[in-house]
Amino acid sequence: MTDAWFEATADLLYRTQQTRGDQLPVAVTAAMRRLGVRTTLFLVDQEQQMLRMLPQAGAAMVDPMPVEGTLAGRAFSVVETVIGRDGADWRLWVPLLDGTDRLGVMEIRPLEPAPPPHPEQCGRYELLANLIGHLTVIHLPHGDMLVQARRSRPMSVTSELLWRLLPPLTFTCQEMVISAVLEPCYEVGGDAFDYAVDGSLARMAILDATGHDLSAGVTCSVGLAAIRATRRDGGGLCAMGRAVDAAIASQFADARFATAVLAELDLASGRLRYVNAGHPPPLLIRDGKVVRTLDGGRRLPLGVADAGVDVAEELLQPGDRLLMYTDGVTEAHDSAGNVFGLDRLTDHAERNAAAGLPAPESLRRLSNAVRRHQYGELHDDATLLLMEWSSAAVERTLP
Amino acid sequence: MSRTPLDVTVTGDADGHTIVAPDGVLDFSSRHILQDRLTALLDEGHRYLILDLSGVPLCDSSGLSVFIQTHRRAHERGGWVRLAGARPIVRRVLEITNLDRMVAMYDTVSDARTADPAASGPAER
Repeated sequence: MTDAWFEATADLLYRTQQTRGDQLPVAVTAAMRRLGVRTTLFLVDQEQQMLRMLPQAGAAMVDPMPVEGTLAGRAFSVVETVIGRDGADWRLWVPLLDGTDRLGVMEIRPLEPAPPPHPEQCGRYELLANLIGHLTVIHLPHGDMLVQARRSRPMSVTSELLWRLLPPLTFTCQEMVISAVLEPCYEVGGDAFDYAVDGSLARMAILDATGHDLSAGVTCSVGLAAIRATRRDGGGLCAMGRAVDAAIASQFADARFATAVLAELDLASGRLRYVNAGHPPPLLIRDGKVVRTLDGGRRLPLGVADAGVDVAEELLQPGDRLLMYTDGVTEAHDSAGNVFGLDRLTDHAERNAAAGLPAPESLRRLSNAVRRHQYGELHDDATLLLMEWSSAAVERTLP
Repeated sequence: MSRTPLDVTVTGDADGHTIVAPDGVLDFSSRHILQDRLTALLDEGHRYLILDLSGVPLCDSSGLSVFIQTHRRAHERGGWVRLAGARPIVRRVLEITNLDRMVAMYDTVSDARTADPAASGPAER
């Protein structure tokens, strides 16, 4: 027996096999008609401030909607389906996710007057939205339209280079969530992050390369590649560091370097091992409070060989959060020279933890606070990476 | 690109030390001024360099790379670099990046001049 949901799903997969990225909204709309609804796709822009409609043949363009203060924005930010009612009319805002990476929202309206969907139907829309999210990401590399739809302004060469190398901003598995945010996203200098989760081992890295220009982006790219090549060859934290040292030293004569934290968490035992190459120490957040900075594992910055590296260890407790950041966060300053500072970072991190926000939303708001402190413009890269070892945190990233 | 003004004063002492005193912010736009001067000094045969940082209010990672590069070049020639008089902000940058393990730091130029030569051994290998 087939039902309309199956028909719609099959039609969606069939139509998107041979479609260009710019045809995706039309393909989705055609498939979803089988469910008696009309859909419009909105992607969040790179800076995660506005939801922008994907142009769709035959549909009027809707103005971008701010994430703050709109129903669509609420669906996006807290990762929940939101229903909007206007008399007998209704519309549904469903989070558009690639796994748990927030892409935007899907608007669903009935073609004919119909009662609002009940929770079970909403759950099915959410699953379809997740499939559409996957399909959107699959179509990203084939053309530029989907990428352009996410941009409010042109991107620098360095940013273009680095974004292509970064993993999705958010990843969730059963035991933990990793999320990151990188600003100023259109003019990234030399910051980057990375992660890889295999079996019970979650590996994470945050990097900050010397300078703010294209050469900083190149240094960072070389560092990321060296870390991955070593990791994928079975190398551990010290070996990754040595690989970056060798790669930078062999390629550049000007003593450039990258500060970094390289860490790995055993998801079964909570044992965290880390090396800190001249980077601000990560913060350990437990029961909603920053309980300490992780000050061990110190070595010289990546690119400056260091023979005396000791890997540090910390035993995490279930529910713990680990916050890594680059100095552009704490050193963001207002016109009077007051820096954002570790105290404000701690304060925001604790408040967001208490609010029970999904990890990506917690970081989005923290990054907004840093930008506001500097009156909207960041002069240095400000990158944040949050790891939550908690099944409750996992739930929060899902609709 | 506009350049941050950075004045560099060089003096010698009777013990064969060369004291280099940059005056200004040490960052991406000014690093070359100091680096060029230090490279020239090393090429002229100056081996024992004391960097007087008392006139440097801020130093970013580009500035730090000048210290690394000069340390490497001096070490290759059998000499050394010592840092002296760093202000708290600059000292903190050197400590966070762990570069204080590589390049010896002293409170004053006078301390740097009279320090045990073994104190300036490199951590980098």
